[in-house]
Amino acid sequence: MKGMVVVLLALALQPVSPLAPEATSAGVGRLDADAADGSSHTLELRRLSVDATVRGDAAETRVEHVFWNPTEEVLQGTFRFPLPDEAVLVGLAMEVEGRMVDGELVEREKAQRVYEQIVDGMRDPALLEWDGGSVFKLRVFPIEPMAEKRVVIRYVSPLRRDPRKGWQYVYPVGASTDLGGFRLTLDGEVRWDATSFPARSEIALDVPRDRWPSPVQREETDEATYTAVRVRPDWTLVPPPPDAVRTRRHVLVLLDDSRSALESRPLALQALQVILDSLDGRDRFRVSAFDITVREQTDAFVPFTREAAAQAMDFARSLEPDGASDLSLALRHAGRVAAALSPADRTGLEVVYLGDGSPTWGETGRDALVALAAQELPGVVFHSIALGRGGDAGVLRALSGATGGRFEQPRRLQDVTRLAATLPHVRRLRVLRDARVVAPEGHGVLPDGARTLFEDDDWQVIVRSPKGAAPDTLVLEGRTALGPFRQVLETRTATEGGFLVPRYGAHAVAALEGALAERDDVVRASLQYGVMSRHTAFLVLESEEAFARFQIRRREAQETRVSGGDLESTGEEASLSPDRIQPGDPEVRIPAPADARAVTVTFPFGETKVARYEPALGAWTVRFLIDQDTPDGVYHVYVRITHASGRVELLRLAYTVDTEAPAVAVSWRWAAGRSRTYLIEARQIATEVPLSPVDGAAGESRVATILEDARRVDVRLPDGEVLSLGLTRPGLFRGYWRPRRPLQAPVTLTVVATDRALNSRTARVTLDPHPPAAASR
Amino acid sequence: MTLLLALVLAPAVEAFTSTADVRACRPLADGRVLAATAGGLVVYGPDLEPERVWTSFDGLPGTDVKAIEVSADGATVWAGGEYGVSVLRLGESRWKELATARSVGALLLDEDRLLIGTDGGLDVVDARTGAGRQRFDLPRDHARGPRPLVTSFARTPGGIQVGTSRGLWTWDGSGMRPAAGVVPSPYVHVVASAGSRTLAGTVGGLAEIGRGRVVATAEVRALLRIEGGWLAGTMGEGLRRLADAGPEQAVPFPSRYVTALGRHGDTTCAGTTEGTFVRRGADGAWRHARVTGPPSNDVSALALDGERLWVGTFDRGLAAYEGGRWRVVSGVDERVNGLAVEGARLWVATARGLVTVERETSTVRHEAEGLPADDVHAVAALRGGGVLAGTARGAALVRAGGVESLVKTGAPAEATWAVAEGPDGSLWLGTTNGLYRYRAGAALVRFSVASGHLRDNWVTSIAFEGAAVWVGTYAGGVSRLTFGARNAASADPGPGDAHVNPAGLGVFDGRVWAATMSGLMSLARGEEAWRIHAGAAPGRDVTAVVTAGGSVWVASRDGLARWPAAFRP
Repeated sequence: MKGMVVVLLALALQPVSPLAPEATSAGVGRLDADAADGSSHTLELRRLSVDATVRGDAAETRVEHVFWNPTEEVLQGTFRFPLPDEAVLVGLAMEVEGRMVDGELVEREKAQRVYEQIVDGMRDPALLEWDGGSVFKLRVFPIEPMAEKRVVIRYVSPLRRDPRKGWQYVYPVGASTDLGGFRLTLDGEVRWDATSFPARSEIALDVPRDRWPSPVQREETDEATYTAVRVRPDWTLVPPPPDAVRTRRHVLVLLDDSRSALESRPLALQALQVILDSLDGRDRFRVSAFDITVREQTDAFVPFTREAAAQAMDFARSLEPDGASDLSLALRHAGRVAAALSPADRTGLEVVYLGDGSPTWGETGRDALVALAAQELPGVVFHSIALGRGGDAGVLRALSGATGGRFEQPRRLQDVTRLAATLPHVRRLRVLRDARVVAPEGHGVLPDGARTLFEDDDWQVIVRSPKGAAPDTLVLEGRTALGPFRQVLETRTATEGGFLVPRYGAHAVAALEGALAERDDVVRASLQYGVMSRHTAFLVLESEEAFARFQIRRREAQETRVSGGDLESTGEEASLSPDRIQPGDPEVRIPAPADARAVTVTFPFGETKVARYEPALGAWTVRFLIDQDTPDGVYHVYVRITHASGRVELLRLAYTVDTEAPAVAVSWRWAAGRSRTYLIEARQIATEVPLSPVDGAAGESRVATILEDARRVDVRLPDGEVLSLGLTRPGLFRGYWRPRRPLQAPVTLTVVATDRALNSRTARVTLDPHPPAAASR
Repeated sequence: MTLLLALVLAPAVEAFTSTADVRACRPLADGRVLAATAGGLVVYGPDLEPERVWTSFDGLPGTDVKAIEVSADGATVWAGGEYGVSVLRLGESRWKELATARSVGALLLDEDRLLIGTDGGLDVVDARTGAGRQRFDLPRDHARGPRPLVTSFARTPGGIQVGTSRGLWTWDGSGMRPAAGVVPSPYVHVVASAGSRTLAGTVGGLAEIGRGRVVATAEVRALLRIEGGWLAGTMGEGLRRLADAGPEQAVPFPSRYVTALGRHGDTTCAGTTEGTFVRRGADGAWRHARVTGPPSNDVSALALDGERLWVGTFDRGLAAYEGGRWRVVSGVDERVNGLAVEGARLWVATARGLVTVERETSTVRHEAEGLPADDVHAVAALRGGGVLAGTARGAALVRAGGVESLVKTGAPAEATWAVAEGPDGSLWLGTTNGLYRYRAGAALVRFSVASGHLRDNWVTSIAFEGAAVWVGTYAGGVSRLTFGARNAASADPGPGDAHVNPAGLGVFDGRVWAATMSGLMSLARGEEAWRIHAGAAPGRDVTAVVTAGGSVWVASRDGLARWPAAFRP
């Protein structure tokens, strides 16, 4: 095997400069704002709240950023968010006039058209686009003066498997400055809550052993069944590499010198140093930098010496990354270099690529580049070291996989060190070339394409099957030194999968983009699976009406349905998701199997109803009425499920009857940055109500303080117009009013506050026409 | 025994109720069978045809009768319902109120006392006069929140066992104490005792009290002592026989949901969600007593189409009443919210789409066909053809050309509970955020609490009287909007805090009618005060009122009533 034998232990002996922050920033967004005078600055990130849910071998993470605009100006800005490794972006929400509005994934050109169409209006929408690699960019306006702005990003990412600690949830914190407030919740449990947090760090939380994912996981949706399989070849069937005499190595380093490589330059230099340190006096090397042209330190391979290595490092440091990246040019150059070697020397040729793998010039298609590599470098191993957040690992992984080379993606100093520890043993690793997983017809396997599997590789594929038809087995095929390899993988037994749909979708989109598929096909896949692509974007509009007006269909209903808390489930299969009662005709939905013998619901007022199964919902439903005389309090409904097997499951559902109308205190002041404009503020007044405990704690009285259940505040202005205040944060509403003429006398406003249960309270408040100036915070 | 053949005079009002949901049943010595149902107290003759259906119109304490008790000589019957207990004695034609109470769930005759299980406890009164009332409260978990309901009684050597929605209790004549013994679930449907055995049927199964033993996992709603064991009526598993010694066995029975059992002599009755079944002898076949009335008493919408009355129910579907017969219409989701007649078509607003019924064919439109949401709350016919529909996320026009969502042209995407076309062609949308007037090409106008036009933003009904608009709301009664010379609207608020039901407003006979949760109300032109029409329907929660040919139909959550032209509610 022509491998890369690199002695990276040297890395530990040499002083290594700290990795540049940009090279490791991930998981934390940044909002750069532009002022009217043209100045630009990064807004303070006041709080970062991370909420993660683990399922299977992945986690969905919701990151809420709260930025602060300290100026008296209305700003506009650009929010950038670098996704962590292997993460898939699945959601965006932004604060619009005090309300959090979820974004919708839309075809990119349409999103841009809609954005441009309404950008001149009172409110700007928000458009989140792929900025390349794993960075996403969001235009944000308005950022109100002396106010907070919230942006929420959701992504799905795999858990990390640590050889010693097992499975871990990892959250990288890569910010430019220390965080003012940080909170991390994992599966509902607060794991970190700090008023200050280091800017560059990583949180790794162990997953309990009883929740470690199995090698096969499964997830069912309404349309299909997804199966994730960790591929573990039976290495006893793969012959070990022969103890070959060490031959002279010819190492050609292709150093990406394009603009996109700038961010990862420090790590690239460290990796280059590691590669050079792995050589010894028998070896030769050559360093070629490329963007849309090739520049070389030498025009021939030079013997390794310390001096030659130092000169090569000087050459690399002298480069100024700029321009586009033409990977096809680099491959052709490597082909000419290879062709110029003697056949004996060519057997020891190793090509090592250092860069982000994002071709932006020449041939850019993944499949085309793989074909080119096969044509230019037949029988030559192509190793890839993918660097930087803007990288496209798919292309590099495909190139290395097709040629039997090693693919690495170091992010931190520790990663490079680990690489150093493993690379010396690469030649002694068993390897399976052209490895691919084959499923029965009608099932899709991603990622597709052949790859090279080394003994210590961790590879997972996801299979999409018709609903309810997951395959019982898959076949792993490949090549070894002895010939064809075939192994049957058992997939019948599976545990619950972790967010397999978006992960499969990400592979599907990557495969289509890599094959330069039609844009419509990429868009279709992106929308189908809810993952971003180069041709789709998340769009946030000011209201649900706006989405409807532009005929943008919402993937998820924005209106909650009735449910309740499952408090006494004796089983694990059926449960009720928590929610609140909507006025009208509440409906109970019970996710019990369609073949259940009976599902009955007993209500606290003595009625028992038989639920009916609705195939379209995949749930049993029953609706009921709440009598007008029902006192406020918490009520319980019993749900009884008799399964087909005879097993009985008893659940209890709670709902709250609330007829307490909210009260708000209203004030106003001059709005900063707006001439003759009042900023009207309504703050919900806390009210105390006795609480009904869930279960008989007889004799114990409890009191709850209702702070934040107000949903709307309308204000009737003196001119008769009605202003709806926006929800700035729970319990706080704001709006702006500019009278036609300056006010002289006190003004009386009629204020109507409404809560989630549609209870409303009307009050009149008289305000001084000359309020204080805007307060500074 | 001819007790229960009450004198029948030509009624001023006809009640139409469903007798399918049976709460209790009791065969009588003369071969008749009494059935307490959600649609009244039914007397079945020996041929199992209904001889009489008593409702609240006849003096019952609510049409939904939950409990009955019969004296040993069959001369007296007590019936418990939502508002108390009434009694009927031999020779009398009308039920008399014995005691007022809320949610009577169980009755037990104990010598000359009547035990009344109610909302929150037990009342004991003189069985003949109702005098000497004693109250025994069940403790509540906390000051605010539901009170436990009493569901059943059983006489045991240790006292009266009281089954409730909060467990099993014992009444020893002086007070209530928790009964010894664990039950599978706190919600006790039925308790019964024979000899030394006491059984309690709960939501979670059947337990033998005192021995701490769960006898069966079925949800037992009714128990009847038979030779060598018990007959158990269950929700979902029909009838089951529990032998004193031996395994539990299923009993062949036509229905899976059995809610009541009773016996006299060799006649056994079983009440179900599909009516009453009767068997003579231990091995006789079960025969189905005829069920009358609409598919459900919970009527949510009415529409008159010539001689045909369309009746939509809350969760039992659509039916038509014509020529004295009821016909259930298939192909329509059972959760009917609204009805509108447009020519030869009937439009049905349901929780799962907008349905068109024409001749025998039904067509459904969903969100996929362009509606803003599947949950359609309201529908109103348009003069130019088609309908205006209100859904959980806005309104839409449905015409020959297809569905046109008004949300796309600026109408609010709010839950729309009332829709109507105004005299000038403008569209009126009643939402949970106020009332909107929509005209294509014109600005949307909103009327709300904040604007001073309404007393509650949740609009449930709209009706026109000339140029004025009557607006019914959920919690703010009725408002009347009129428009001045410069098109500025002013409001003349209506009566108090009445909860007006969806599509509950109507204008006819020179009056505005409001179907509210507290009853039927009306206001005549020139009057200042709304008139409350007590007893206009079998239930207090009136949901709709329509008129044709002089008759007035009034719907409620406990059935329908028709008032002939000569009479008025």
